[in-house]
Amino acid sequence: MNIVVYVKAMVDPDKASDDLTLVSEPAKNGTAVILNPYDKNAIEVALQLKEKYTGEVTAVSFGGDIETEKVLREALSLGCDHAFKVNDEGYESLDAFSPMLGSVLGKVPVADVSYFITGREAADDNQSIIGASIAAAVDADFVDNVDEIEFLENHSLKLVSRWDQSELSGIYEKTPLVISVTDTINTPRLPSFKAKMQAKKAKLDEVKVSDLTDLDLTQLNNLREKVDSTGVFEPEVINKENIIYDLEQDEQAVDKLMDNLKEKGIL
Amino acid sequence: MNNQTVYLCATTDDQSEVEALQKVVQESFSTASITVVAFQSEALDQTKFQASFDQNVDAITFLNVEKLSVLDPNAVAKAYNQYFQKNDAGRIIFYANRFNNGIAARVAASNLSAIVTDVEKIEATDDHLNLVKKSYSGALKRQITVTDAAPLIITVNNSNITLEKVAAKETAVTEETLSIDYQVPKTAVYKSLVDNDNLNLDNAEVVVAGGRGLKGAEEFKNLEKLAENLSAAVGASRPVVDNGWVPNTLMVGQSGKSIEPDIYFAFGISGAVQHTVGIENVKTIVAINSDEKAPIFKIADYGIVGDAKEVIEKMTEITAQK
Repeated sequence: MNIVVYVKAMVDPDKASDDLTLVSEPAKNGTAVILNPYDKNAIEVALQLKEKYTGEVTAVSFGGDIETEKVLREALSLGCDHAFKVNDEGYESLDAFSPMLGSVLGKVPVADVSYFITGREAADDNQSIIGASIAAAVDADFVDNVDEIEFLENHSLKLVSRWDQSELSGIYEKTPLVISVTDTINTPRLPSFKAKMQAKKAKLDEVKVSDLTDLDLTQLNNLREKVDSTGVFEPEVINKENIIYDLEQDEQAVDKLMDNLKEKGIL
Repeated sequence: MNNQTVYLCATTDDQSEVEALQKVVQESFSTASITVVAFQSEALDQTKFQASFDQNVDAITFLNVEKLSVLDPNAVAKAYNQYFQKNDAGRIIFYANRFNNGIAARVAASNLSAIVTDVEKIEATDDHLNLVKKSYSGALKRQITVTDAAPLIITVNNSNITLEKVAAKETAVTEETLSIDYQVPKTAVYKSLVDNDNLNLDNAEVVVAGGRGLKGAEEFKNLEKLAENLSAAVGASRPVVDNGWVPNTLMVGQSGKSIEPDIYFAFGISGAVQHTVGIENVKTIVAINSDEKAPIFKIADYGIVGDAKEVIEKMTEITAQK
């Protein structure tokens, strides 16, 4: 029983809005690259599965050298046993607006996998499509937005999916199973200093997209031409009236605010 | 290419879902042929749904899955897949929420079709679509241009648009019963979390929310008193929930709820984008923070620079006099 956890390197949203060029060239500033926060929760679930049952955890990431290695080493430092880098050379836009990345990543050669774990979404593109794509690729059921997990006897899991207005709980016995997790399911562990040092020196497995699949480049290019991002921009700042009182300068600040809100019929 | 049929897919009869889909027609596809494909379940009542959508679209099809005991997204997606295999799918559009995004992703994965989720704007021209989608958790927007990709799956989040009354149209209503190959896990239980009986973040017109600046669970008790005076619901930012001061059902933002009250009081909330993305569509934001440089002031209509605790006390006094 092995576990695969998919992790993504991304530019820190706070830094992306300060420097839009980071978005197109994440490797330009390695320090701006972080492990997708949702994937930390996914790693935590993978490690708990391993501790509860048996097996090994392999972290898989797709992307360029600098970013991918950084997050894979972080995954190793947290306790993942192996790390698999899927080099994006020639296929950089594989993850854009289609499930194709999932169909490739589902083919990463790890034996005897019972659980494929991902974060609910990546905090950079906010697409939330990878879990479903992996599930289709490996022909497994997909349980999304898992917000609670309970480890039962006989390798069965009680999972609670929680969406905006509803939830579904059930006991899942069949494997393989693909699970996407929320960022409120657990509190991810922190790496020890020693583990960090070891992860720095660890060997990463590497594979090219073309080793995994006979994916037709024309099909990919075709789709990229038809659905293409022309870039990111900062949201429009809505000009607000912005009436700010200072309590230190004005004892009546709260009264004035409340009067103003009442006068305008807001409250 | 914009003469392709537009399929609007609904999984609940919630007003926000119905309206979001109607706005898509109004904004982008007013001359296109529109078919609504609604998945019938405990979350979608056929009569109620039909009444709210009638006269606005060309056709409504209700999908029924035989012997489906529980609303399971795997089953819903399989039903839509079956339906779209039989129909020449053009544009497939869902209202963007976490449940529907999961359905849309499954449908896209099954046919390797293009998909863009959380789209805030669809501009249709003669030969292409311009989409704007949420990116970097709300800190940025991404512009996407689509030329003749079909099928194309989109989930929309367009609550910033106002819905207008539309002219009547003749609607053909049909029903389709499908048999799918999927076993809902045993002991599965589906539960709606919508609570219309009590005042809460989903239905309150006034929300008072607290952040780290409240310094502890104690201060939330005082915030509750203020909420009572204002007939408001209580909300919270993520750090407060992580600290265990309040339950996570109160969380507002990227990891919690997106809310749309008329007025939102943010006490001791700094205003990180992960939080403010949840209050994008609030009409009036009032920020109270001791740090005058806190980013929350940039998006606030009104504000007080000062200690949140002190302001809560004063406001509670003022509102109690009413």
